[in-house]
Amino acid sequence: MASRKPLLAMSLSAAGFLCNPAAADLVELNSEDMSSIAARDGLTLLIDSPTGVTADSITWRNDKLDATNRAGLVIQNMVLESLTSNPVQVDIDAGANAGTPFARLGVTWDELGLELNALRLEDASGNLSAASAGEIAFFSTGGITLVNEGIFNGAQGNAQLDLRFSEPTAPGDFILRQGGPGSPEFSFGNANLRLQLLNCSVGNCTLGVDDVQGVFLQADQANLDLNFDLLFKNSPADFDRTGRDLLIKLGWTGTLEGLDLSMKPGSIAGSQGIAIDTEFSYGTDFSFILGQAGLETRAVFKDFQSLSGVASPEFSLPLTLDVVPAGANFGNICFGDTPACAGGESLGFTADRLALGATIRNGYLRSYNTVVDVVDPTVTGSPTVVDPGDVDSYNWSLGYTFGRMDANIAIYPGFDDDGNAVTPLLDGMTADIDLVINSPGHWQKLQGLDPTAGDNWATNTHFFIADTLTAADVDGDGLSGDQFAFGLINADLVWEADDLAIRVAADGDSALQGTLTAADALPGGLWLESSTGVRYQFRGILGGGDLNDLSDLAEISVVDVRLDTDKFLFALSPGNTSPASIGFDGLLDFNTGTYVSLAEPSRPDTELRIENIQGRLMWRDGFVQILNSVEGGGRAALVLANNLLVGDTAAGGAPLRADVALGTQRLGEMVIPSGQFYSEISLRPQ
Amino acid sequence: MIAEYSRKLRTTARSALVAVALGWAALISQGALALEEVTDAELGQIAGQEGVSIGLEVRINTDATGQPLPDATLTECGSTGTTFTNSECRFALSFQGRTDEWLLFRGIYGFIDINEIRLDAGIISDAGTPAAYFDATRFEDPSGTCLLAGGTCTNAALGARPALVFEYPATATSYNPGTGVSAGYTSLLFGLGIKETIVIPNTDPAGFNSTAAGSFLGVNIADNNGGPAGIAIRGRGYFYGF
Repeated sequence: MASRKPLLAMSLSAAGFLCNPAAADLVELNSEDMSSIAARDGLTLLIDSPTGVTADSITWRNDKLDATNRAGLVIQNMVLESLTSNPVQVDIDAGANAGTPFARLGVTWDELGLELNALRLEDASGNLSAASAGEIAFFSTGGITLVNEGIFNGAQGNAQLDLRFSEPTAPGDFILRQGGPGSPEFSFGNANLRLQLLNCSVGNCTLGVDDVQGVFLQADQANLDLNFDLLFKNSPADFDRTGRDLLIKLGWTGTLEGLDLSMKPGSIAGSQGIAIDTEFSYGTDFSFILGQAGLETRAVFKDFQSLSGVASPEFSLPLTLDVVPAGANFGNICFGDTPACAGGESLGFTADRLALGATIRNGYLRSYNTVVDVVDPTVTGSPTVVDPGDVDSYNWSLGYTFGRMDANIAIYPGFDDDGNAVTPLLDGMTADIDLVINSPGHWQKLQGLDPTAGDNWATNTHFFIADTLTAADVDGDGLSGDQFAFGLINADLVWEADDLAIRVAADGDSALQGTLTAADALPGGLWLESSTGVRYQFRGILGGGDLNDLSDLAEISVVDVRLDTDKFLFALSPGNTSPASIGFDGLLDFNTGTYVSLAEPSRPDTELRIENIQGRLMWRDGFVQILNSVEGGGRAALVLANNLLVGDTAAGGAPLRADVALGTQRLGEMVIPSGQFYSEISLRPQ
Repeated sequence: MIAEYSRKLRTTARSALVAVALGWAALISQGALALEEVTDAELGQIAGQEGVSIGLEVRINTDATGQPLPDATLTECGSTGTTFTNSECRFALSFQGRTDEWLLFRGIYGFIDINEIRLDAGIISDAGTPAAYFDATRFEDPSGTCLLAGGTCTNAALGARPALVFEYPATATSYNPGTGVSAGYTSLLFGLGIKETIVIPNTDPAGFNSTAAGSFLGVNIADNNGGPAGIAIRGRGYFYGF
């Protein structure tokens, strides 16, 4: 970034300020015409600020008149600047559609950089948190085009919106660090983000405001293009966009149907916060992309399909954001999700201190891909150009559906992974998290405790791989081509994290209150660590079945796995591989709440339990890698591999030990004092 | 054609370990039917329709070639004799009612490499469900209640059930008895070593960290030419539960 100067207001360059006085002509235009007009009869503003635009602080304050719950989110030392002249252009125009006047607002920006140099919270007395959650930079070339009857008009269903934070030749960047210039930086780089409403002349496209939905955007169809590379630089310059190490490419692109976004009042504590609801279904061209960062080799998961019988939308995420004081109660959520949580496990917490709070209630995802395209540019022609012959399609699914997702999340400024760190805290973020993804009531049914409960498989949680065009007649209708999935079906999942520090760490940083030192040499990257405790548990049916009717499963076992840790670390970093990969390392210090249970589907009381598991496991040198056919020995491949260190081998941890039991009958104990295991799983086309 | 193919399954194994547990319907060869070679291309049309191929490699205290460590962190897996002076490469069992007594395995290492196993779906009857082998009591609880989905324990009902299918494609293999050299036995690579097995009494305060002598058993599963044993497998297994 260029040098900063403390200006408090936007300045408009007189030389760059152009005004066309002939803005009053109203002519009959259709909506498509309007979107193509660029200020021929309107007003154009060219905005320039050679010194940049700065602000000492920007505060989002809620519950201002509530002495208990008043709190705020404060962005300090904001700098907005560009290295180009006249980086912002605003076009305002007017027209009409069938006699209805429309306004067209067009804004474009070129190579803008926005730095947020501290993120703090403000308590009811106006005191700021001593620690900052971190520093953020955005880099963007993009624009907004809005055509509507007014800016917001809930009664006008032909609005047009094109919002883009990047251009094909100018991808954007989001960079996070926790400290001043020179601190390690984690980036969402080479990023593209565009949301464009489609077919608004015939379908519903509404941008409005009312007292029920708040500010809302609804569209029968919208195109989303979101993709980025995860990148990391251990020793960067100030918000460095060069020479970063590559991790992986992620992308979501295609048509969203029935898009409904709304932002309205909602709260966790007090009465003022923001509720953001997002709903949509996947269009026929929607895809999820997993690929090599910076390169073209990728897997494209596409042709999404609803779980049978599920009404739209396929995805819903009701999210509430609030800044809350210490002691604020986030409300309880239920692992198992039964009425009144009977037989389930009620989870909840109060804020340790001033926090940015988030809750999710009744989120879900009820769709899965049915086809995977393996894009491998090394097959024909240039290895950097995708030719038609470089794409192979397979009838596979890598499915994950969420029956009901609830979450409580508190984010505190400052690094405090055991709840006892000496203040002032170091810059960073710490979180308390309860997250459940349920198949409501199904575990009770599996255990025979509620045999009358409905099956509800179409709205449950499943994690599976599937052949979506089998040669078998699985459903008995006399026809082959059925979809058959195998995995954890009708699952419940919970993740509880207490004092979970979210760190952008450098190579060899000390972790877990000195448990891991430079001698253990963990690679720098994005680390999640807690010296208080993290619990992860999943349960469900290990088996397979027809994806059009998962009520009739080939059941292999009822699985219940609970991992309870006193110390937890998971680190994402650039993998130590060629080609590049996303690397991971981790540490788990189990306590006696940990167990693995395998039971007979028809007799859940007949179970093999490995329980009271204690000791330490460490992942080292793990990676997830996408290989093209040259790199994969003739076939493209998805590879997951890691070393697993046990007990004393894992940085001097306690021996890994566990009791073995059949049902309630203990058989004995087994111990692995130390060891080094390695595992590698690869998926390839046949 | 699927049922026909299932009768053409063959396994070829050459090693100390050939016990591969698959579903009862798998790996059945009925001599009354002609055995015909099926190409991999035909296999792709029959089952899986060019589906997913999975590779799995697990190393327990071994390096990438299946040889026991040492490396920088583990020094004793490959040791010979009773030189085990610390806790490395051990696995211990203690049985209920035998407090602080341990069955201790020292110098333990292993290697499993599963190549090219293919995942698919099928109906159990595709594998052939010969009525002569059907035993309804295997699918009933002690009170005689049928545990199969639908509650009907008949050969036909079982045969109609869907199942998860694992399939190994054919591999070209050769073995020269003169040189003892083999090739192509790569469906499954398996190695296991246990240098010492010893019972540690409760009078030994070191417990599973004991360095006491007195091994009564050692195990080594390997190829004659070194490294893990190679096994060639061709066939399909149908997995289901009830």
